Amino acid sequence: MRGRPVLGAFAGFFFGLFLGLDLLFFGVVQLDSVLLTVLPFVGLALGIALAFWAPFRRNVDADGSDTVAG
Amino acid sequence: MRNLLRWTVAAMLVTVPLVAVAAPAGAKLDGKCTGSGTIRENGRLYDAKVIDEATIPRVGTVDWEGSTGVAKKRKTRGEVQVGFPPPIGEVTVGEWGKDGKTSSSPGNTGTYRYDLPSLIAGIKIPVHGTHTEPGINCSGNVVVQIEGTSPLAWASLALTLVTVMGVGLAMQARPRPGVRF
Repeated sequence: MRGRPVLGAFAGFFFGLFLGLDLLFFGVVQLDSVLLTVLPFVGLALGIALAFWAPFRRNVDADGSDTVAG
Repeated sequence: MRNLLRWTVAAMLVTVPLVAVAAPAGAKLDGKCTGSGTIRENGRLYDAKVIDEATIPRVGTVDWEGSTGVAKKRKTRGEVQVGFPPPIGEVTVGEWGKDGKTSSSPGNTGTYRYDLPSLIAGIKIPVHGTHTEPGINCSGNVVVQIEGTSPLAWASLALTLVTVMGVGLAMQARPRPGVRF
């Protein structure tokens, strides 16, 4: 069983990118921080890994629709 | 309970890389050089010998001075750089003496009016400067932060939350064909 690795990669990359920008704009890291370069790629790898792990499962209702059970 | 454990492990995987966030301590101006500026709007003196961080108004007028105390005619050379994340590195934003001109002045003063864009407010900008002339080598670092918060900060925060939801969606297992949960 697995989740959505492509969505995980895409969302993970941009999560890392925007997280880096948050840290920059709120003054947590300096403009020359290597984190700004690294975080998008860490997010990419984590997004793929979490999607393959897929710890949250869906329940299929009687009418055939999916609901997240967790 | 299992759900809590799963969310905790997932959250840890995302946040652990942030543990290493620690900006290196800046170094003040060293060598025989002196440099300072007074911003008229807040009346504050920023002396490069004693500070390594400066929070400044976004718009202001600064009366500045720089000196080495040497009055004889000599070649001088220097530059000011701003640090960007790798692979960009340091970008030179100002330089002097590269054309080989000589100077006999022990120092320089001036007044500079600046108006910085609000988009870069709140960002900690590392600035590095050097000045070289016979017998004198000076270098200094200062981290400049503009007062306020950039409007881009809130947009970035909102987009971060959107991407968190995207990662959450990606973590939901898809049923295999023929397998019922």
